[in-house]
Amino acid sequence: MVENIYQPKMMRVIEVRDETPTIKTFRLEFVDDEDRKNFTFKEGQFGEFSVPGSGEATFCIASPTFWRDYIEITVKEVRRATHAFHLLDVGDFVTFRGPYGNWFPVDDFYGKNVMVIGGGIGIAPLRGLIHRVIKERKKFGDFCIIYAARCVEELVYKEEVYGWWESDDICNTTLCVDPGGETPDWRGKVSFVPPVLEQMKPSPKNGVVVVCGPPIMIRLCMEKLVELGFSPDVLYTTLEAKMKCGLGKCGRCNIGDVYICKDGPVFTYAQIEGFPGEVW
Amino acid sequence: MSNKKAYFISDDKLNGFIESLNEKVPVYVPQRFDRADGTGIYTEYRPYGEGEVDLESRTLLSVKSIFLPQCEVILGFTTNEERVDVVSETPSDERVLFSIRNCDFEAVRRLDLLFGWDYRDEFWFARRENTIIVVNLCDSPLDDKCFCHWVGVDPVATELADCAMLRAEGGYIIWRISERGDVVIDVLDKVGADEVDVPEVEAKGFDNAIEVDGSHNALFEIFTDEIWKVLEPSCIGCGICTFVCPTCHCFEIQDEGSKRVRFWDYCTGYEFTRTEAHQPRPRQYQRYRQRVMHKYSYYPRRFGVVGCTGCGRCISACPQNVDIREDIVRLLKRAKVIK
Repeated sequence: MVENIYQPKMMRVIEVRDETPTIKTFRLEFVDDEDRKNFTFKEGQFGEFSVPGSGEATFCIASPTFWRDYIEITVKEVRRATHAFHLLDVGDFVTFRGPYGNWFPVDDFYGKNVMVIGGGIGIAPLRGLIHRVIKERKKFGDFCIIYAARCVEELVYKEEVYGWWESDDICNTTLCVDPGGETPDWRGKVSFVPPVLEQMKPSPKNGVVVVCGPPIMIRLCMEKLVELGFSPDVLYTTLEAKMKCGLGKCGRCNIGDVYICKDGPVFTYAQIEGFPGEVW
Repeated sequence: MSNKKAYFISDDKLNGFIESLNEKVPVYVPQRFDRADGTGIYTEYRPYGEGEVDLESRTLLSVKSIFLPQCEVILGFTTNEERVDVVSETPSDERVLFSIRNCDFEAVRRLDLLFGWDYRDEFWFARRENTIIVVNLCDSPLDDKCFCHWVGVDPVATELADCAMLRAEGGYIIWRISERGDVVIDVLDKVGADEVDVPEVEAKGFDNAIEVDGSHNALFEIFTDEIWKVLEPSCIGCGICTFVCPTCHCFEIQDEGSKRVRFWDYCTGYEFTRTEAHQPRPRQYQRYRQRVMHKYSYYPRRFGVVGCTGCGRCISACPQNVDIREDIVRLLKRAKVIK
């Protein structure tokens, strides 16, 4: 066979971190040096990962591009494949195909005011972008992060997020949890995201916004941002869909004639408005 | 035309001929199988010798499984304490696909676009390249469910095949189209088939077509139309239309033990797009719409050809008697393509 496009590369788990009771982050390195040397990706791309024998699942690469020796993925335990991930220890093997899909056009964000809005585990595809902006901070205008979760316990990357929160000189960070999700010592906001946007009234001037989270949250944020004067073509999101191949073959992730795995997963709200439906 | 040679093989010699051919190259041919429980007859393309050869009925299953098996191993894992290795397996043996109809052949060629764009699926193309095609021409429709003439398929096309064959009084006339077809012709020569002229073939009886080609954008516009909800009660989402369909190619990938396998999946089922976080098609009409629109709107918008070749299998297989032609007519009227 010339090339089996479904053939994965082997990776090894080098660190496991608990994020929430159902979410873990895995740091992975390529087993073969050749694979490690040849590997590049861009913020927002995804891959097909598996614990051999338990099936593949689609995860975004949740680490920045400039971490050269390893990548990280953040996995919520839901069914068979993700359950197998949650049983992994350091030293175990996983397979990886990718990177697939398009990416956030970060170079186009230079000189602009960047706002990043994440909801729950939806912060994972934004994490690489956030690290990139922080690393190249001077190349961007104002930098604002809004991160929301259902409850305090459900906040992912807690240490990092609290670190951003306390670094006012780098970014203006707002943390919020849904009403009822707060703890007695919670110092962030208790609110859904659209009211926070309403209150903050970010200026659409020279601004770009990247949103990722549950579909309903993305939609409501987009609508609110348009109401605040943002043009739909500066509002970015990354869409999630069930995928099997990641290669535009298996016919599963389409919205109309658009393949999320090939034409996405990153889309502007302007593009999404042109889809016939079945987005949210 | 008459300077080219053709061979006539009579019905009583047909099995002997296929058997001789099968000794040289494995032959895949439509066959009937009595189902184990005796409840019915099952026809499909299988390696020669398993069932009773039947070239004149529409096979229940299309030729799809010859190129995209219902279930196939795409790789395996070997595990030891130090590492896990991935082992790919290759389909490689040459074979003859005997008596394929042009609807099925065209479907395979239309799927070449999907399996070849961007990333090239070598499982598909290895099988494409190692298959010698003997196309069985339809000079008239097999029955009233044929509608290849609605979707731009020429039922008597021969150009892209390796050999062509045509039903004649008491047997078949078979002739060579390409060099790869020589293996078939050599065997015909050897078994003493009579030499005849290559026939002039004309398709008759393919009447009253509704031209579907070119309406993909108009259909796209009625995505949100209420008509889909009207069509919904007909479809129960069993997925049989997708299994018998020669162009339905959607697949699932799963691990079974140390093997990674891919197998057919169906978009009319609830689980097709469901994730824990999201279900973009919660209603049955949305899933039926996906199937219809994928064929008649998305596929032509993306690849320039209609994703249906009018074989009619979904019409005969549907337990709810959904006739996709009736729905196409309703949709095209709604989209104001026809009156």
